[in-house]
Amino acid sequence: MTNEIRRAIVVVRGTYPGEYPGSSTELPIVWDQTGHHTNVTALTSHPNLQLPASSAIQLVCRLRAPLTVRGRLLQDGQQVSPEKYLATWRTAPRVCHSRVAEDLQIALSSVATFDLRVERCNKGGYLLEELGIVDIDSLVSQFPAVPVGQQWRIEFDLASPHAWRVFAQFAARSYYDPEVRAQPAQFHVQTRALAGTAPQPDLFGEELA
Amino acid sequence: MSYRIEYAHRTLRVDGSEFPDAKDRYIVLAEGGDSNCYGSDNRRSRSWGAIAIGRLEEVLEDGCQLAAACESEGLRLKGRALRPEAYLRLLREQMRKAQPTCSARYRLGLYCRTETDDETDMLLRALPGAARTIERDWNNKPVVVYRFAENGQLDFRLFFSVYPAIRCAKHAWHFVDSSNL
Repeated sequence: MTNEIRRAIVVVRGTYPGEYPGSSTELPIVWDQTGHHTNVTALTSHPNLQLPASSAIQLVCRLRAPLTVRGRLLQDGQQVSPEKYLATWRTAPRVCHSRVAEDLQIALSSVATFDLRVERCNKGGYLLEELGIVDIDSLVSQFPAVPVGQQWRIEFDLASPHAWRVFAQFAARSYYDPEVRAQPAQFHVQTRALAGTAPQPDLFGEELA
Repeated sequence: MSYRIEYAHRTLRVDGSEFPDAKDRYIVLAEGGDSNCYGSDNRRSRSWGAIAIGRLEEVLEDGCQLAAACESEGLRLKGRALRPEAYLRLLREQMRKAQPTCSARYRLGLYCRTETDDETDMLLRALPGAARTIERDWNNKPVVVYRFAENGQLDFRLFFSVYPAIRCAKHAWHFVDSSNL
C-alpha cells in the first residue's frame, strides 16, 4: 500500500520543436510514503519512452487513479475515490521547470541510453540546428555522453533551458525513426532530493507500474 | 483531430448469486463513434459496444483508463467535453441503475475473438466449457472465436470465471456482441 503525501505539476513551455505558441508539457511529481521511506517520482508517459505528457491530469488518471479504487493508493493517508483523487490533483501546485529546485527542493534529470546509427544522425536535419546541435559531435560537446557497450548514455539536466527539447527530440527520433534507431532506446526521468531534505533513493531505471 | 463521441449508455447487471463471491458483475455498453466518420445518411456513424466489464471495482479501474481521454477532449459525451471525474460519475450512475441481464439475455452475445495460438487462445483452450471455432475476419484471415453459451443461453458463470485472466490482454469490446440490442 502506498500513501501519496504530496503532489506537484512541473510545467515546461515549448518543449517540442514546432509546437504552437503557448503550448506546454506537464510532469506530475508525486511524493509516495511506503513505510518510513518517501520516494519522489516523476510520472511519465511510457515505461521506455518516458516523455512528459501534455496533461498531468490525463496521466494521473491513467496511471494512478485506478490504484485508488481498491485502496492500493491512499491520498494523504485516506482512501479516496478516483473522482476525489483527480479533484485533489486539480488544486496541486504548478511549478515552472526553472523553479523546481527552489520550490520543490528536488532536482530533475533524465538519463537516456540509446544506440543510434550515427551516420544517419550526422546527415543533418535530425538534430536541433537552432541550438547548435547539428551532429553527434556537437551533441556530445554540450551533453556529456558515456559509452556503455554498444550504446551511449547521456544525462540531461532538466533544469537547463534546452535540455527538455534535446531530450524530447532524441527520445522521439530514436524511438520512432527506424532510419536512425539501431536498438530500442531507454529514457528515464529521475528525481533527486536536494541537500537539507530527507535522503531519496536513486530512481534510475525504476519503471512505473 | 478527431475524437470519440459517446451518445448513450446502457448497463446490464449479472446477479451476484451466480458467482462464488456473490458480487454483481456489470457489462457497460456505449453507443459511440468517431467524430469524423459519417454514414451514407450524412449522419455520424455510431454503434453499440462494450466499454467495461466486471465487478464494480474493475469497471471503475477500466473507467479511469477511458476517462483519461476526456481530459484532452479525445472522448466527449454527446459531442460535449467533460472532465474525467464526470465520466467516472456517469459510470457509477450507470451501474447504480443497471438492468438485469434477463432483459437482454437472448439478444446479447458473449464471445472472445482472438488470434490462433496467441496468449488468450492458449489460456482459453486449456479451460473446459467455451466452444472454440475458427472463423474468417473481413480480410479472410482465420480468427479463433470462443462463445460462452449453453443450450442457447448465455453462460455468465463460465464467462466471468475466465474474464479476469483475459481482461488485461484485450479491451471490453472484444467480448460482447451487442449488435442485436
